[in-house]
Amino acid sequence: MISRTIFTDLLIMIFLVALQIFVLNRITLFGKYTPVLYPVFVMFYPFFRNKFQFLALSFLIGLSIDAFLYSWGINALATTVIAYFRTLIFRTSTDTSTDFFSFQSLQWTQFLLFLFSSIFLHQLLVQYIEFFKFSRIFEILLNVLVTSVISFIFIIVYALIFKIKQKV
Amino acid sequence: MGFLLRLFSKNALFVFFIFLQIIALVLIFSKNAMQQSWLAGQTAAFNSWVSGYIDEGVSYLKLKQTNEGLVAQNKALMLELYGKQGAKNPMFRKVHDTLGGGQIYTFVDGEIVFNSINRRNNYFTINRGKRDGVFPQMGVMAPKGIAGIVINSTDSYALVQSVLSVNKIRINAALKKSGYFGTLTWRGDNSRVMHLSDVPKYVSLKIGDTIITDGKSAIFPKGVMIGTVAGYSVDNQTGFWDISVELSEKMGALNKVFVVKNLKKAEVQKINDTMQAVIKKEND
Repeated sequence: MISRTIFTDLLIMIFLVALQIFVLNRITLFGKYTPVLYPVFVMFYPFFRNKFQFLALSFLIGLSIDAFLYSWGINALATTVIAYFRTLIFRTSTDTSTDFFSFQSLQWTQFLLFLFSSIFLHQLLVQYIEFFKFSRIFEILLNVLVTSVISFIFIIVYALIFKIKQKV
Repeated sequence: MGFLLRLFSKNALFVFFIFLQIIALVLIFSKNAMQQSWLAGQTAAFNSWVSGYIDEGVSYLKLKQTNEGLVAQNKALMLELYGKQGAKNPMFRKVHDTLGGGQIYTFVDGEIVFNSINRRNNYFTINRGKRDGVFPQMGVMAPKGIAGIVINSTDSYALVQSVLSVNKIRINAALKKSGYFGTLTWRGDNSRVMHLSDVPKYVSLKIGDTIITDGKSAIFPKGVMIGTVAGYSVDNQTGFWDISVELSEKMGALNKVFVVKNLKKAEVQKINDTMQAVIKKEND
């Protein structure tokens, strides 16, 4: 996390995609819910780096997940949306003139709210586009909520293990 | 140009974001079955919406032909009503109805949705069914002549055996002038010509004589136009006339039809059944 280049970005991406596809997608909690962890790449991407590169990499990680799940474009779309809105959120909520913004300056509640809203938005997009049925709107919403909560727990664990809050 | 450049430099990230989203959407709609079927459904709906208007326009363009057919039929009906007896005093003719004032036949108009004339047994489908009171064994007339007999009906459609059927259709027909009747069949060669047999050979014939239904079958009313005599010869095997009848209705160009309902059919059926019973008793 100290000196990240495009090369380390790609390594992290490969790690996260492999973790998601080969480990997490084989876990089904309560019968049908699968934790989603790979958006942490987007959420915890270092601030103040090339935003175009950030968007492109977000699109790429979503697309690689799609490639394994045969759901072309769906995860790519959702991941790019949360990446773009992360830049929007932190541009408006902080003073852009300072170059020292980081998660350290956030309170824990703000940090957790950011994590949950991101994963919720992500799952909302993914599942509604994937099922694409307005008749099952409440069933899908329940699915989105449960999946978001489960994934949220996994993301907190990831953040604690890699000490994201302190480092990024 | 300067405006565009400024727009891009100010909102470059947003433009890039939209660009990525478009790629994702294109992928979603081109690769996923669910979205593809939705897209196919939408385009099909749009297509049928547009072709509905086109069909309406086409039927508007066909109004003239339909109108001509209706006028011809009206003329025939007027002739039937006023043209026969009492030509001096055509109106207010009292009808002596021996059936006690009962109406025997009633009609339902319909349109042909599918038609064939080039097979051995031909069928067509009309857009009237059980909901409109159309049931098997009802006759189907066209503006200029008879067309077929209903053999099956669903809620809103009916399948009609065309008169152009080799073994399945035998219609009681009569010569209008002399009143002699025979059996009308089709031999499967020419869609304009049917054959009338069982007319004795002492009956005098002329090319152009009118052939009508004789109304004994309770399927068609009496006196419906069928066609005209186009040629005749003696059948050597039976000794009866073999008459070629040119149909007045072009079966290949049918559009509007009328389904004939016989209101007294059950009654006729009942009395015929007692006749059958009597014959059976006599034979025993």
